[in-house]
Amino acid sequence: MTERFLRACRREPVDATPVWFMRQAGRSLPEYRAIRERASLVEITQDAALCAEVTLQPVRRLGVDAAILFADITTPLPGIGVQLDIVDGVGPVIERPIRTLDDVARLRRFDAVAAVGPLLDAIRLVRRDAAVPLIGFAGAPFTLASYLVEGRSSRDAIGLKTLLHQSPVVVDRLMAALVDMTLGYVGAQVAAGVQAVQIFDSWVGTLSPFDYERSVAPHTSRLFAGLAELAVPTIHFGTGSAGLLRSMAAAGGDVIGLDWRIDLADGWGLVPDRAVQGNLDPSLLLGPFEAVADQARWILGQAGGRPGHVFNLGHGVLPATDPDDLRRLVDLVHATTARSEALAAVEAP
Amino acid sequence: MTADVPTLAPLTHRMTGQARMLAAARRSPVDATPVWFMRQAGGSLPRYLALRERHSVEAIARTPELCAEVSLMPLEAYGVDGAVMFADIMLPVAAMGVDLTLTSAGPVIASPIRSAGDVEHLRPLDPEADVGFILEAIAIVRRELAGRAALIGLTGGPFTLACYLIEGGPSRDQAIAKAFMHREPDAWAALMDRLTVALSAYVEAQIRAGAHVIQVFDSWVGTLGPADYVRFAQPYSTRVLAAAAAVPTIHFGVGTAGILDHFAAAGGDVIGIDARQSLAEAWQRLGADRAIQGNLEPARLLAGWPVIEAGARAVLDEAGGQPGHIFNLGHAAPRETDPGLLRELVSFVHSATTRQSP
Repeated sequence: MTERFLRACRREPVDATPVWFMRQAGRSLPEYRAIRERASLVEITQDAALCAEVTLQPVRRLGVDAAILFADITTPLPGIGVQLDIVDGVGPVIERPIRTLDDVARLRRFDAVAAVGPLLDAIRLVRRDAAVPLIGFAGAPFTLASYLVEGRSSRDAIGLKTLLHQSPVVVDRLMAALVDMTLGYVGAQVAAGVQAVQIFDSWVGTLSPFDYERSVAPHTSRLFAGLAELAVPTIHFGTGSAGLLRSMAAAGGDVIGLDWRIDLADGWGLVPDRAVQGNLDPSLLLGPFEAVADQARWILGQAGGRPGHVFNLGHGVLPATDPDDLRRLVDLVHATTARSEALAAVEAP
Repeated sequence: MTADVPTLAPLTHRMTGQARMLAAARRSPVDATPVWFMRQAGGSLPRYLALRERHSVEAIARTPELCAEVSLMPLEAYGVDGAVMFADIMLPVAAMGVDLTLTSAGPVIASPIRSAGDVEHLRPLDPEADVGFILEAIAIVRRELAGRAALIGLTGGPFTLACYLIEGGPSRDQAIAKAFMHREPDAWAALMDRLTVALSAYVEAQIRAGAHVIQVFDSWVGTLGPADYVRFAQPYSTRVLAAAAAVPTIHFGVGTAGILDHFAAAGGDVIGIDARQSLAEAWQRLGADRAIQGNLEPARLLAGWPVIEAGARAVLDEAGGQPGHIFNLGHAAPRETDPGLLRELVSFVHSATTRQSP
C-alpha cells in the first residue's frame, strides 16, 4: 500500500504501520558516503539529479514507506541573503550572526526558484521515480532563528534566548521574516510535488513553556495556518518537547512528532486529536538489534493498532548506524502490524 | 520560630533560612518561600574570583577551609536559604581510582570504561579516607552557618556518573553509554551497583558530617526513554535516595518531563524540575505528597532585572503559594551571571511570598 504513510497522517486505517526515518538519507548509507567523496552536502542540494538519487537511496535499501527530500535545514537561508558554510563535524556556520533590527531588515525577500531551483527539480525527479510519497521539510522559525543568532548549532540556544529576553522585537521580527521565507519555500516544494511536509523544531525543547507560548507559538501558528492552505499533511516535530506537546499541537500539525523521552501512549494522550510519529531512541541502533526490536515492539504496543501512528525514530539516524539494522527494523514494524487490506477497509470510517 | 539566631533576612522574616528550607522540604508552612541556586558557589562572585587567582578549582575543592569559604559566600552575597557544598560530582569517582581532570568544559576521563573488565578496576569508596576533605568542609560550613541556612550536601546520580565514565566527558546524547548498557547489560549493572554502593556511603558520610539536606543531581537522565530509565537507572537512584533518607532529599534531573512519574517513583522528598516543563503541571502529576523545586529559566539571568522578575513571578504564580515549594533555577546559573541580580532575585522571592509566620 503506497498510500500507507499518507493515510496514517490522516488517521485512516492502514494495512501495516508506515515507517520512515529522520535523516534516513545520509551518512549511515555507504552509497551516500560514496557520493560525498566527490560532492559536498551543498553541492548535492544544488544538483537535481544527485539530490534525487540521494533522496531515493534509503527507499531502495531500507524499504521505508516515504522518501524525505535531501536538504539541510539551512538550505533556504542563502535565498534571503544569509551567507553560510556547512562544516564537516560542526554543521552550518553563519558568517554574520543576526543581532540587531538592522540585521533583520537586511534579509531579502525569498524567491524559491532563484534560491532553490535545483532542489525543486529534484522533487520532480523523485516523484517520477519513487513508488512512495515524498516528504518535504523546513525548519521552524525558532530553530532557524537559533542558527542565525548563535551562528551555529547550540546545545542550549542560550544566545538566542538571551536576545529574546533582552531585545524581543529583534527576535520577533526575525521569526516573522523566517515564517515568510518558509511559507514561500514549502509552497514551492508542494507545487513541485511533495506530498507531506515536516516542520523540524529541533531546538524548541530548550524553551520553557512560558517563553514558547508567549514568544514562539504565534509564529509557529502562523506558519502552520499558511501550510494548511497547501492541503498536504503536516508533521510538527521537536525534541525534548515532552513539556511542550500540548502547546506545540495547538500551534499546528496533523501529525505530532515525539522524541523517545516520553512514552508514545503518554505523548499521544496529550494530543489525542492528532496522529503521532515516533519514537524509537536512535542511540539504540548503536547497540544489539535485540534491544531495538524490544523497544520497537514496546512502541507498537503503546500505539495499540490505533489509526494514526507513523513509526519513526525519536530523532535522526546516527551516522554510525548499520543500515542492515534499519532494514530489519522496517521489516519488523511491517510484520508486527500487518493487517489485511480488507480488514483495513472494513474499519474505515 | 527562633528569633535569637542571627539572620541576614529582613526582620519581617522570622524563620531562619534553615528552618524555611527544611519546612518547605516537608511541605510545612513557611513565612516566605525558600530560595537557593544550583551552582551558586563559585561563578562570578568577586570574592571567589579573587580566590581563584591564587588557587585552582581542584585545590579549593580539596582544601576544607577554602571549600567551606566558597560554599558560604552565597549566604552573604545573596541571602539564600540553602548553602550547597562547592564539590564537583566527580570527586568521589576520582577517589575510586578513575584518572580524571576537571576542566571548564566538564570532567575528562583518561581511560573511559568500555568493558566489564574496566568496571572491575573501580575501587570501593571509603568516604572518610578518600573524600575526608569534603566531610571536613561540611563540618566547618555547618558550624559557620549556625542555623542561618540549610547545608545542602550533593551527589551525582549513578546514571549521570556512569555516563561520564563511559563517554569519557560531557556528551549531548550519551549514545556510547546507552549502547554499552544495551550491549553489556551485566557490565552496566555491575558498574551501576559499584557506583550506587559508593554514592550511598558518600551521602551517609555527608549526613554524619552535618548535611541537613541531600540533593541528587541526575542531570543526564533526560536522555533516556521511560522504559530504559526504569530498567537501567531507576533501581540505583532509588538505593542512593534511600541511603539519604535520614534527612530530606531533593531529586533533580534535567529534561524529565517525559519520565517524571518514574523519576519521582525512585524517591526524593522534593522533586527538582528544569525550566522546560510547567511547574504547576509537574506538581499536579507528582501529587500533594511531594515538594517541588524550581524552575526559573537560567537564560533569563543574562537578560536584566525586568526579565528575571517577570519569570520569577510566573514561577511563583504556578506554585500558587502552596506549602512545599523551594525556589531555584531550572538548572545551574550561567557562570557569567551578575551576582547583584541573584541578590535581587532572592529578595524578590522572599518579599513576594511573605506570609504570617506559621
